[in-house]
Amino acid sequence: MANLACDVLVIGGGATGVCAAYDLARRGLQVILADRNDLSTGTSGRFHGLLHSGGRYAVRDPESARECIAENRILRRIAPGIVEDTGGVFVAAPQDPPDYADQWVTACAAAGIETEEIAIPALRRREPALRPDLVRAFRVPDGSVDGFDLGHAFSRAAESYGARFLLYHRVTALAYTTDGMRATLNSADGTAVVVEARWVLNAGGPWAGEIAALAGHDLRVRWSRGVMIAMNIRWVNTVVNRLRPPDDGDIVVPVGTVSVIGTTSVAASSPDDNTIEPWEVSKMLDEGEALIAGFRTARALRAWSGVRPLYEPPGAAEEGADGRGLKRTFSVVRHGPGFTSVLGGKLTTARLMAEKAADDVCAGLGVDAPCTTAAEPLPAGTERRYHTLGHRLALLESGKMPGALICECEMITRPQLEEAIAAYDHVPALDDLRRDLRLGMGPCQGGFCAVRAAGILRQARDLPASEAVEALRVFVAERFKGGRPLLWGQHLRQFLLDEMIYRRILGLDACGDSRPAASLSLPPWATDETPIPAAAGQRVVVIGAGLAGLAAAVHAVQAGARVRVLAAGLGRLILTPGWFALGTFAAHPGVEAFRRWAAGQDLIRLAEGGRLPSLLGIPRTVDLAPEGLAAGAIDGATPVLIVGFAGWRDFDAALCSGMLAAAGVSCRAVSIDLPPRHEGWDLSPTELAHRFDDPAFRAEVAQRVRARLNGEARVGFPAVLGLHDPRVRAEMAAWIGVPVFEVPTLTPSVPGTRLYNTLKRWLLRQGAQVQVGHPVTRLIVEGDRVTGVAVASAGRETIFPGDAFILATGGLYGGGLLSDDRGHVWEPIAGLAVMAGDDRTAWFRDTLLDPAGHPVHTFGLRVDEALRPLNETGHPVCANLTVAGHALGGFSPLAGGYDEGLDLASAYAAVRAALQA
Amino acid sequence: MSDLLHLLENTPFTSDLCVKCNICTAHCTVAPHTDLFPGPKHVGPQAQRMRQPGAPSVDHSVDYCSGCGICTLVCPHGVRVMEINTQAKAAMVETHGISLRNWFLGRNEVWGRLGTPFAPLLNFGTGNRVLRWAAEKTFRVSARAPLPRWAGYTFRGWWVRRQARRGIRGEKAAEACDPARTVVYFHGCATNAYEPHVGRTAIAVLEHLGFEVIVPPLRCCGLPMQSNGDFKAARHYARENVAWLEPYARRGIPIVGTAASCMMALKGDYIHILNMSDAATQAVAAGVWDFMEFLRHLHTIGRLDTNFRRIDRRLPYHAPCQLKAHGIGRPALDVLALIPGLEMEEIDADCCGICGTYGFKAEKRAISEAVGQPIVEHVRAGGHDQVVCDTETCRWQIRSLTGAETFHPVMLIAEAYGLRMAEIDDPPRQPGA
Repeated sequence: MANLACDVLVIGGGATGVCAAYDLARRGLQVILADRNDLSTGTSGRFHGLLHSGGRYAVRDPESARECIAENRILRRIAPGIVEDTGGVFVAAPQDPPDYADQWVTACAAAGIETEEIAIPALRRREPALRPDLVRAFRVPDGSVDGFDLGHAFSRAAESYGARFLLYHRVTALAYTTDGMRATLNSADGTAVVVEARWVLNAGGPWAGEIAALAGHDLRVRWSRGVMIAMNIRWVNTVVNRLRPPDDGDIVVPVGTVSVIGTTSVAASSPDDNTIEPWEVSKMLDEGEALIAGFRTARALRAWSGVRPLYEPPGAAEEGADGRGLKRTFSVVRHGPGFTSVLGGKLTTARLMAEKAADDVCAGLGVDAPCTTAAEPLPAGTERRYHTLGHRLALLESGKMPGALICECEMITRPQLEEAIAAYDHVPALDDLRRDLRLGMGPCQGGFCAVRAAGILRQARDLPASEAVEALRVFVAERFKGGRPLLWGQHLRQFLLDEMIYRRILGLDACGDSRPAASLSLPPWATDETPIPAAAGQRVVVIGAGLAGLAAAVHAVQAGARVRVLAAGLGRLILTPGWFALGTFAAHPGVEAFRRWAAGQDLIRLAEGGRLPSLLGIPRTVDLAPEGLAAGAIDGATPVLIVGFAGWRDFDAALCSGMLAAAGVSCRAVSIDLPPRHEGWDLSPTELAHRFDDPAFRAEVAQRVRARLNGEARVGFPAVLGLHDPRVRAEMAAWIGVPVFEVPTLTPSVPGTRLYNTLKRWLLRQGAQVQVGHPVTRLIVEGDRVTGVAVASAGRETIFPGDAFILATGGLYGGGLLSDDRGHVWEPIAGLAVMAGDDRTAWFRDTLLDPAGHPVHTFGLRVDEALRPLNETGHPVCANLTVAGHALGGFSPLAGGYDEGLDLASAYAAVRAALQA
Repeated sequence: MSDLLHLLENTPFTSDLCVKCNICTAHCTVAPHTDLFPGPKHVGPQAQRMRQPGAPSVDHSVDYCSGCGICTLVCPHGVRVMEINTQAKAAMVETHGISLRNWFLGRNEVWGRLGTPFAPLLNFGTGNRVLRWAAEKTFRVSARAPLPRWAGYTFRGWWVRRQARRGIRGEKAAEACDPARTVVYFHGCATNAYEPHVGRTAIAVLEHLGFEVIVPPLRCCGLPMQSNGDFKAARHYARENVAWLEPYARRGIPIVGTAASCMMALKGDYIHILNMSDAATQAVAAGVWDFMEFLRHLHTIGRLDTNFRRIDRRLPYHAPCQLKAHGIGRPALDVLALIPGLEMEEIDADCCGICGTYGFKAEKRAISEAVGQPIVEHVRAGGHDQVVCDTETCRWQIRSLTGAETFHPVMLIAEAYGLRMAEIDDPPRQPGA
């Protein structure tokens, strides 16, 4: 048990606590701040980021308004690095009370808040996302502030005056002593610390009541929960407030890279109540719509809820159950000699709350040093301008941020991560690095950066591979929790992509191995072995350029048809590891036909699969694989060398080798330097593969690998051994002297790209047309036949005629199905009947990597026994329109282990049925 | 138009749709050939999240985007990657100004016209190695760039003289035209100064099909200025063109052009890159046709004369990036398939590498040539000495890289109709005309 002594113990590392620690330390007192968690993990890290001008409170709560505008000006002066001067605007929508504006302007003037009316067209030139039908708008001096930045800046400032921070220390006992108080703290690792303080300042926010109770005081804090949603991009660059009496969802704040809409106000059951009710999400979107037309369909990135600590001084009147009516001013309560609590308020006034609380503490201690926090800026070096928009991009572009870019969305480099990891005296969780740097907080939510960061963590702390993989699993689970309330539309597609990466490329789950799914009974189209009829001269239009669409095009060409492939964009091929999971469909004639076709293509010749290593070295059982991947089949006997490239972010040889070793493979990793390059931008897998097409480059690499060989009988590389040249792997094997195989990388997958390139080139050579960037928007139907499809071309639509049509547009990931926040799933081209559950909360199971997959995976089109899509009455829409691939409903290809099997089998059957019609 | 469409039609906002999948990275034509370009996802939607409107530009690397637009085409999520990049280049120009060289390269129209009287001298100069070396050293215009040759006369001059011979002055107003029998022809700057025969052939084909052709005194489409980030100038030209064309577009008179890239500027770039969303620009966009697209349309409605003479040849065809961006498939292939004996094969190449003015720049010439290699390989492997392609600069690039003769598909149409240049200059009167 350690014993510490100080003048003041501040409990709570939120905004008020760190400001108080800074204030008291500046007055010459010895300060210790303790928090049961990290800084800013309570309300201060769970708000919308608004630095209030006070306009929001001007009418109802003029005292708060005056405090806000004063503190707003002070904070801009003393800590300019944590404030973004976005400016703010109050806008009235048509449905808002018309007389409120004038009342509000008067109240703002009385509170000293400057306002200026701005014409709506002028406002929309600055903020084109705002609705054109807004009625009035006024500028105010709002700003935005990042709660984590504020915590870091003030804590560093406090430290520079000698304050000490005990984070992850929970106060378990508080007792009065003769000359102050004694606090017992329990650290995260279980050790107890006793702090003898002359005074204790309780800045516990929503937990202040619990803390006061430790010393036997009754402090009634009202908890009011508010939900906020961070939208993926900055829809506005100015804080936008609704010009109406404060209500739910009437503020949009641009903070860093996102814009945050807030918030609800609901009585919470406890200070830890972080519930997010679906209605609250809906409410935010509805209110956003009143400001920005189309807001519902914009991408929501993260939702969180924070608990406001509202204080009711004894005897105050009840003002509504939700707490919206309670004032936002604060109170300083002296419980007894040596114990003060500070309560209420808001982040904007944190410094003022700290000042008044510190005044009370100092009065109690007989210290007469005045508060100086408002007068002088924070000490130099305590602020870092990391989180402002554009800063990281500027550093990257000017070459001042060297090293591999690990988190691409939020622009974090390898040296930054290494520095952040080094700052911990324990092995940090990836989630700690997230709070430090915003790791994984951008659109992909960790899909790409998490595995890279896990590799860096492994290297920096010399962890066993399995521990790094465990850290990755924890982070993945954590990110899914934050995203889950928002999984529809484009963010749903993001998580489906991330899930594919985690399951198929990384091999993070035990399921997804290709094996017959016991529950899947094959539909009639999949057991019909009739060949595809000859189709000379028929015009076949395939919609979609994924594996199903392109395989269908191959079959149609082979049947003699004139084929046109139209696709909105490319399909999932380059997002797959490159191997084939066939499962139940392994023996289907479509699979056989595709294998025969592939046998003639040097670059992608297929071999029997086996147990192949994933990017993380986790064995995956696959049915079929390009020869380069298949050569990596795990046999347990031959020692293997896994080769990585120094500084290349998309493959960590040591992680792969470590996990392979754990699976019983005799394995070693080496990292070799790539032949020198001119500049520092990261190479994507396809760009690196392009370099291997150069014989001199690959000879150099082979020579370097050969020099590191130590008796290994096989060498594994990331799958980058040539993009176009089929000879690369064989040549390298000859030079190195042992067989060479490939291991999948993060996307873009080179094996998948090779497959797409080969398919497209073959089709063009056969005279087929392959046109991407051609989104089909509707079918032209005459009677019971489709006669053409309309494409949204530049300027107007273009009709492409045909005799038979294959719909291979994919499922919810591919864009063949769309979804919205209300749980509606639809097929956008023809409004076809969809199999889907309409309760959005049931689309996913609780954990992303659940071996059973998710109900959402089975959503797709309803078809008859000949793959013809049905309409809502259960009848085929048209005789000559059939469906192939992941657009089909009722299957669970990812978890069932038949991703490619479904594509190849249905492509064949769909062409057969469409040509028979 | 729904709210969503409206919001996500705004190019910068399409970055909201990016799921970082890297499809654009995998298919970028430039990134594999240089370390100076971090790829379309990086400079496109990813950087866009960090760009503050109105703030000085911090970008540098986006300058290496060639603007080919393959990224936008392959994106399955609807992100307008190339358009985002082009706007970022414009922001760079706004912050740092435009280089003299890029300003110069954007003024194709002026140089084409001013140079015409001095064609022999200029053609000597552009063909002279020493002078080209000097130009590279002083102006950073690559000595290997495929500079065009001045024709010595302009298409416009030819047209005005021809009209004068027929006693016509000025162009017929839209209200006076019969929409079913009239076509507006947009020739573009390259046809005007360097390849007037393409314009003459197009006129001949249109007149052969019974159309009265109108050639308003249009300006440069603005594309060369736009791709060099000079949006102010590009918008100026765009507005003039829209003002000229709007009355015809409103009357339903097709606006047809042989320069697929200029036509894409009118159809799409004015709206999505230059952010001109007014009704006049939209109306013009809806009325613009690529030449071969127009012929395909005539065939669909039964108005194309398919009485083609046999052409026994097998020819490679390159679809320019700008044509792909139209989203109209490959109309040249669809129409040329109607000519008996003619076999066309599409070259599997995303881009020829020239990208308007990109491949003329000294520091980008090597990249440009590397991008065009798949075309070189195709032409060499097939032993071809002719390549068909719809845009001028691509034709010059392909000619320069492969040595093959290059021409617009309209030349094959004219050949199949048996139209000869002499007749084109002074065509015989159509029966009933």
